[in-house]
Amino acid sequence: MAVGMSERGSLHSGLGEWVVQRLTAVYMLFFIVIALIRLSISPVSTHADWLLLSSGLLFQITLLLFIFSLLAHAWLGLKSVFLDYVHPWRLRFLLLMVVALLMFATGVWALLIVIT
Amino acid sequence: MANMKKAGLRPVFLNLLQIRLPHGGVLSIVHRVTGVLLVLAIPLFIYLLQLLNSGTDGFSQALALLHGLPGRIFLSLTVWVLIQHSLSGIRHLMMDMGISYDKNIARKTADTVFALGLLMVIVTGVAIWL
Repeated sequence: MAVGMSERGSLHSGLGEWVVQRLTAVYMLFFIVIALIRLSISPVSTHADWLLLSSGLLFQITLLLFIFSLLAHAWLGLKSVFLDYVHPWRLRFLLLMVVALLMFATGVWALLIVIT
Repeated sequence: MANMKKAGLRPVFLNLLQIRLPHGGVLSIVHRVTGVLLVLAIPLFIYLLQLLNSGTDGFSQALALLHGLPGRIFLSLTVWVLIQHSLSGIRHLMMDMGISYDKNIARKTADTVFALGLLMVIVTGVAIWL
């Protein structure tokens, strides 16, 4: 089988993107609801509250997963908007590359913030 | 080949002022527009996270930003857009599961999403501004 081909053929990557768009959406919804419940039970009003919350490993991992989900979701969403409305291929390619770069950079930025 | 030539000659009607979209169609556009707006808020929120994580000074700076007028305007706009996007997103997920394929039900769920969105705007608006 050629490189980049799956059993379903190389033109079926859209199915995977469809799944990723929905899984990330569901994860983000759960994260936001649970975060709101946690914040309403014990609000973060002082720096000590924030330190207690933000130093927990569970919080750090779920927050990073949230941010990565957000970036992946945003990337796929913007991609379908561009594919629908931007027809000149050079401009479309340029836009997609710029957005991909920005998403990647934002992900690295968030990672550095959370782990340091 | 003959078919392709014919396809190019199809009548095209794209007068945006005269096209009457079904309610679900309007909601679909709203989902896209709110999605693009939310992308713009991402860097601001990561910046906020950075402030929160940079010691006592940064933390109080972040709180001051959130309580100031620009912060409140930004926060309420983002929350409203996020709620609208989430509600129409949940409707999309419902449709993926086969709920509301029926035209009349689809119209009702679209209207419900608009009504719920408006209600949540009022609730969160009160929470942020009062």
